[in-house]
Amino acid sequence: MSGRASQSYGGFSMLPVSYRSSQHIIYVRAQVGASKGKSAIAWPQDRTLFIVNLPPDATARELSLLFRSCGAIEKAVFDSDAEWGLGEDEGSSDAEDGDEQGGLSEGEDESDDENRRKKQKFAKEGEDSQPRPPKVVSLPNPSLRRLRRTGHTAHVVFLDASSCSRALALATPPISSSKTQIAAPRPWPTDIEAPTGFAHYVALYDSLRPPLDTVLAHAETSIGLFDHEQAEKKRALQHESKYRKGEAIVDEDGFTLVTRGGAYGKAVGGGVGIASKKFTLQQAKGTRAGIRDGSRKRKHTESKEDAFYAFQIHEKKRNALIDLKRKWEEDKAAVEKLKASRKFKPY
Amino acid sequence: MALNLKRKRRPAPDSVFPNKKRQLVPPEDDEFRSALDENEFTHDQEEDEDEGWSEEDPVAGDGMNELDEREDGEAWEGIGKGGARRGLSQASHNGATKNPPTGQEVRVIKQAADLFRSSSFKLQIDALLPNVRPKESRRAALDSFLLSLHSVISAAPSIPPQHPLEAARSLLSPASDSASKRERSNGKVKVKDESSAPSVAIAVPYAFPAPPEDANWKVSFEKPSEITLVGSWANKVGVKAKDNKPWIVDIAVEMPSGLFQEKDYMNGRFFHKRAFYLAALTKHIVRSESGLGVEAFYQSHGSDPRLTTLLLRPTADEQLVKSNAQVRIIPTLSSQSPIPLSKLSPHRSNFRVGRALSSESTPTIAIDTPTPLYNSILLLATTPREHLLAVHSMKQDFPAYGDALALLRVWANQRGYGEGTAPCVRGFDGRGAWWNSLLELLILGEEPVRNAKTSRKPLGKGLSSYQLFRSALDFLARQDLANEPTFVKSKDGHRFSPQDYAEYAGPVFVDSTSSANLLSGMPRSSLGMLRHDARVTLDILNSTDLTNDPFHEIFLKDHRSLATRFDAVIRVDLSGSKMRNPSAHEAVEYGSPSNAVLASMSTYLQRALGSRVHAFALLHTPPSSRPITQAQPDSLADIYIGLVYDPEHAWRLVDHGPSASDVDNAEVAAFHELWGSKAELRRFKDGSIMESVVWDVKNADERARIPLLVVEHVLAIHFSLPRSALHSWQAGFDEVVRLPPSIVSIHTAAGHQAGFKAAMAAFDDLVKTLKSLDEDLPLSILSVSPTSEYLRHTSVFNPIAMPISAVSSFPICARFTPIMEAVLEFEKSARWPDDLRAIQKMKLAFFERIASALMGAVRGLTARIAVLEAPQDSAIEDHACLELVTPLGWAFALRIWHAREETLLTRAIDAVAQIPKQFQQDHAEKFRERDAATSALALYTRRFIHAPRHHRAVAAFGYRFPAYGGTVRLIKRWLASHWLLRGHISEEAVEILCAAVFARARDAGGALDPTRGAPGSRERGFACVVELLKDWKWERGLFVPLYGEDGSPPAVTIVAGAAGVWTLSTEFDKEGKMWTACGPDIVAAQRVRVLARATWECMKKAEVGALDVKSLFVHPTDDYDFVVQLEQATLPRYFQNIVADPVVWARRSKYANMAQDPSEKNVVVRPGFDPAQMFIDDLRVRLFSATAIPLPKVLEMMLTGCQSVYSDTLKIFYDPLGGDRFGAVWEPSVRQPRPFRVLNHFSSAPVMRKDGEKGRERGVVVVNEAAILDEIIRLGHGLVIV
Repeated sequence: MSGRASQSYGGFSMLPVSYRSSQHIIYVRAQVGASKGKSAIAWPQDRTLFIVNLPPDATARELSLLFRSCGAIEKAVFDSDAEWGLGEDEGSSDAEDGDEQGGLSEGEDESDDENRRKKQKFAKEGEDSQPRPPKVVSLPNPSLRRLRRTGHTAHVVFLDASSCSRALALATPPISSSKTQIAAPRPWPTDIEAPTGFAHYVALYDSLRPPLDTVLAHAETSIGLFDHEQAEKKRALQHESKYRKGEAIVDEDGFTLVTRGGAYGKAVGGGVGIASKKFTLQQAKGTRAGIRDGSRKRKHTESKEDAFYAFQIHEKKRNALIDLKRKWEEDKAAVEKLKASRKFKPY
Repeated sequence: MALNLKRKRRPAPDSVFPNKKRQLVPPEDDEFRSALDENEFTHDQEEDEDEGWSEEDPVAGDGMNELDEREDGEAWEGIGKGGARRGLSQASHNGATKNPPTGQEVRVIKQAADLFRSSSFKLQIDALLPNVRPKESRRAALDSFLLSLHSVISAAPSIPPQHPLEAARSLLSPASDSASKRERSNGKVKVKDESSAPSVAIAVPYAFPAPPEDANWKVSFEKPSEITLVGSWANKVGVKAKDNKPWIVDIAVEMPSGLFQEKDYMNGRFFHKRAFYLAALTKHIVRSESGLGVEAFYQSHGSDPRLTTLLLRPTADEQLVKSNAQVRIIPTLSSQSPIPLSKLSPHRSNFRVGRALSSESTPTIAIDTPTPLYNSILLLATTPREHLLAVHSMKQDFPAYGDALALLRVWANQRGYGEGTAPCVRGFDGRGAWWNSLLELLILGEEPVRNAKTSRKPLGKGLSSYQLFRSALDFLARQDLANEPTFVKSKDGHRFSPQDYAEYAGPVFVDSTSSANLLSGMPRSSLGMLRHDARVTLDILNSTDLTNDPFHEIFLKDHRSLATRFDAVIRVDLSGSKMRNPSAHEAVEYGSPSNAVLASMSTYLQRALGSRVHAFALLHTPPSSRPITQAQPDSLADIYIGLVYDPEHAWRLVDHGPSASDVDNAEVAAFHELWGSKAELRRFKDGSIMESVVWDVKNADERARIPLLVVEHVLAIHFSLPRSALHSWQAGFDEVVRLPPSIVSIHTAAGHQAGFKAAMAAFDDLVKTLKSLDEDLPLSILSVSPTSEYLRHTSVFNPIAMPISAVSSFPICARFTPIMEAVLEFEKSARWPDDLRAIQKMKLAFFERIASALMGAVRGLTARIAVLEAPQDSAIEDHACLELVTPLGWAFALRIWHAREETLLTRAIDAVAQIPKQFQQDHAEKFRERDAATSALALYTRRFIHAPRHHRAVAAFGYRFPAYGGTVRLIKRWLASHWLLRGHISEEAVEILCAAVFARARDAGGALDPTRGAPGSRERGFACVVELLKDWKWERGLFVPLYGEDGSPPAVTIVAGAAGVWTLSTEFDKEGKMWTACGPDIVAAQRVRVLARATWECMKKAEVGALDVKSLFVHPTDDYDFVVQLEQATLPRYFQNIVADPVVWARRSKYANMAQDPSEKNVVVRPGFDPAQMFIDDLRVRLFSATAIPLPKVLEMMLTGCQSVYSDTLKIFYDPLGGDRFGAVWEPSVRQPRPFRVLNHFSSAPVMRKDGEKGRERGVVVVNEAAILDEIIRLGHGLVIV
């Protein structure tokens, strides 16, 4: 790796891949970054490859196919997904099977899954006596390609460090001052299982319309999980706080009962604000006289602003005239401006 | 500077507060005083200095002294004229207006505000007027020319009496001149060259019918008894004509009384003598050796040879040529002539047709049919002088007369009531005198002829020009000039009593000199048009909305474009026209047979169209001057008939005639005469039996064409004009919003429902069914609000039902079924979970319940839940809908509106507001949630709040304005075919934009009123919107009162770099970004403007030639960097393409016996499936993903960047209506080599440096175009043709 080149492209080497009739350039670099902390755990420095400018339709499988000659890939994470907390593990093709997910496919409702996972963790760590949360039946999700913004990036973690360095060796650093050809392009592999183009859109259309019973099962289990979480939360809150927060009291007819007792002047359930005791007392006492007093005072102050002295009256008139003139001048200036742009030649 | 300050301050206390009491002065005023003193002090110093350098620079010093002098003067005099002027100039000079205005100024300002519509209106009028008046500097040259002309005319030799035809022959080919010397050069006769060769052929413009061979009277020429400068030039009330037509200087030459005999008023003898007189005078001028340097032409107003005048165009004097003035010579009749004017009363018959036209006369014509037109045209020969005097005294007495007249004429000229090169309303050329006396009528009042109460009272003298102009419009709008005779109040009674006019059918307007009927020969339809225009303008002036300055609309805008002015325009080729009953009498009365044709055309059309139109007009280019070798004016080749529909009656299917029980045979006969064989006796449901005409139409398109059919029918039977002689472009517009016939025929053969009405009925059925499901649903349904363009008459194509069973019989490229969307609202309930994610799941459960209930209730209905957009979007957004296909084949999508979502989303957004900055890092999760909530809230607002409301408003708007829906459809089609709709401009934005041209129609109260000048046909609506787009400054925004309420236009805030630059605000969307937040961006907006301009030009050309409407919809693709061709056969919408090729779907029926492809045996129905659109959406920014709320930067990136592949690299343009190609342009920035960055957001390739070049530190990359193209091909595999 020539020092100069690494400087000029921020340490990236170029890995050309060949398309139908052209070359696409992928930039690769060994992962550098914080040696400790969250990211260091996620991306072990010695076996992670940071890839820039991936094709927009790249899948994890395609990435592993591309690097097949170098070694096995533990996981491939597309940063644009991770950034938004979406489908962190969508692409982990090789390592997926061993996951605790139990073969559940992901996609539609990652956040729900996340919740569930957290839940599971919580349940494992906490007391075992509590009811286990219901399992969510997820909506079917065939392995469809997801298109990402062009020029996106990914982290690829290899199983061992040697694979990573082999992969880096595939790419050549650009020698800026010479015309020597960069490494021979590798063909871009295609994941046959994930259709493209017309077939992709047909599959997408169909997959977005799952059978009714699946949807029902999904909805019911999701709501079951939600109920479970709510109950859990309520219990936890009651456990730790003297305030009875949590769910509002709903009577048989569906009306919410607004009662004092929530936290900070809120009703139970936290939805509605409740008047303070002081205010209620005041209302009861009927301090209306005071209110009337206040309004009279206000009226008085208003009248004070009116002209009282003769000079004020003059001033007022004068200002009115000045305003008039100012408006006139403004109009005039506007018309002059229009005139200058030859607006007034009707034909 | 100090000097200026001083001058500004000083007059203030003196002039305005002269009696200021010192003892009451409060502390503030003391400050003021001291400031004053200070200024005075500095001023004194200045003055010394001034003197100091005035010695060195005398010029500057003089100026200063002058200033000082004036200032001193003011200190003593207080308010003076100079003060006012100076005050103004100072203020504008300094830009500060801290001192109060002087009394004079106040007067001027108050006057402007009180006497005019607004002060700025007055200023604009003041700015306008000098531009329409002749330049004073040019007068001198003209005056000297007129002087020499006078001497030339006075020197004209007399010609002894001759037989008229012989005299004409001798003028045409003077025997005395040798033939070799004669020279004609395109009719232009160069006087200069031929001063020595007086051989000029001159035709005598004898009126129709030409003098007979056996005429026993003679024509002769004497020099005029009087030569007077008359008309607008003499009175200095001339107004510039349209299209740079020359100024006309009228000269009246009085023919000596000796030339005439008493009986000359009979049988056109006067006109023959006048024609000869004119020709003789022409000859003299043309060959005179004075070297006037003129070209001579004949001109006949209204193509009437009796009104022929001589036009002299100076060619020699450069000054004169520059001034663009022409001299018109009008022979007049002296008041002492032997012709008794009393014989010219309108009820008298002065042309005995039988005798005069013995050769071709038809014996049926009554000998003594009155000839009012003939009489009044004869009378016009006496008027020029009288009018000159009348106008002069008006001008003297009413200071505003001249200005008001100028305003009126400018207004009229802009609307084609005058002369110009564009088609003008027939009958208004050369009617200058009428405009004058119109104002005269307002000022003097109306002669109380019928009863004193209804007649108009005179106006006061102190009116301003604007008020006078306005009352003129008011008069034009109120008075039915076409049918009510109008008499200006005269000093001593009118020459002919109103009863004399009773029998005359045409419009009557007699001025104060009582000389003649100034409106004689004017088609009534033209006056109706004038009335309509006056009404529209008056409505604009009456509107209380002061924020919109109407000045431009009224005076500066050219309203002559036929396409935006008339709902239907028909160009008629007159060459084959022939009256059914040619009447010699009419030909004589109207001056020529072709004029008679036009006159009766106007009458017949008026009767046939009746209440179908507010107004209609015959238009043509006013006849230009003709060479003096041509006796008769050119007959018109083409005329235009423009119709302004009355939306209430225009599309009536039956025209009722007189009832059969009527004994009045004349009425029945007239009805039959008008309609010919189309008139039938019919019995109606209510039992009445009536003569009637029924128009058979098959569909809405044909129905919209009924008024055209009426015109066609009338012209065919009365003027034997075949359909091929008529051109209108309506049919072309119908075609672009219609599906190809081969596809439609499959649908009609299978009996599928189609059309908006059927779609709405299907929707209503669905709603009924849903409401009947109450038992099966946990909550009852409150409302179902449609939000689809198919349910509000604004989708480009008629909706067509496609039953599932029938889908397989359609080729793939014609399978698209539109999905109509609606929003469900349930009754309120507290049982909903109070969590956004759970709400979305709850909706799924609801959908499932509805789906199974519906499928149980309705046989053949299929329901599916579509979980859309979920993979990419957050789970808190509304993302699911219920897709239904009814047994008849209508597809609907229902969504659930849960109002609680809004509260929860707002709460999530507000949750982070309190978090202090230093802790924000710890709450990243919350911020991410906030961002998701912001986007979800935007979607919620648009989908559940604005969309249903917009739908209701647009639907209501469409009911009020019948042409609105069609206009939207055309404009949508136009934008789509230019690859802008949906991708750049949302459908809703188009609907609001189109409403703008309709919402201008308001009555005095400000309420929407379709009868006030709104387009009545979709073609006109289309033209109006194109015109709007052409001129619209979108930087300023547009306020559209779509909901019919009052509102003020928005304050437009321009956000730099915003995705959408249009601001279309309505009463409920003050920001105006609801539907335009994401587009069009600046590039697209500019493109719209360019396209609108090109389309406008194209339509303008159509006024003269035939218009191929389709050419307006063909998109030029030269500007794109690349265009990608899609596989037509795989596109379900291809059949909607503007130039769809039937071969594409005809291909598969190659083997007639093979019903269908075996692979398509079990076709999966995919309503709304459009892979091309999905593909394009993947490539570019999705339109609705941004919001009106300014987004946090991160969110914006997520919304616009995450979903689309090439949003930063390419701008993609695509026709959503069956487009089979898409075009793209590279973002200019990515084509520039730029340093390598990890997040460049485009596919890049390194730039190889040349050997000699010095390497910089950072690597440089540029967009990898070839690779991106390959990627697009890969992504669109199966769709893109490689």
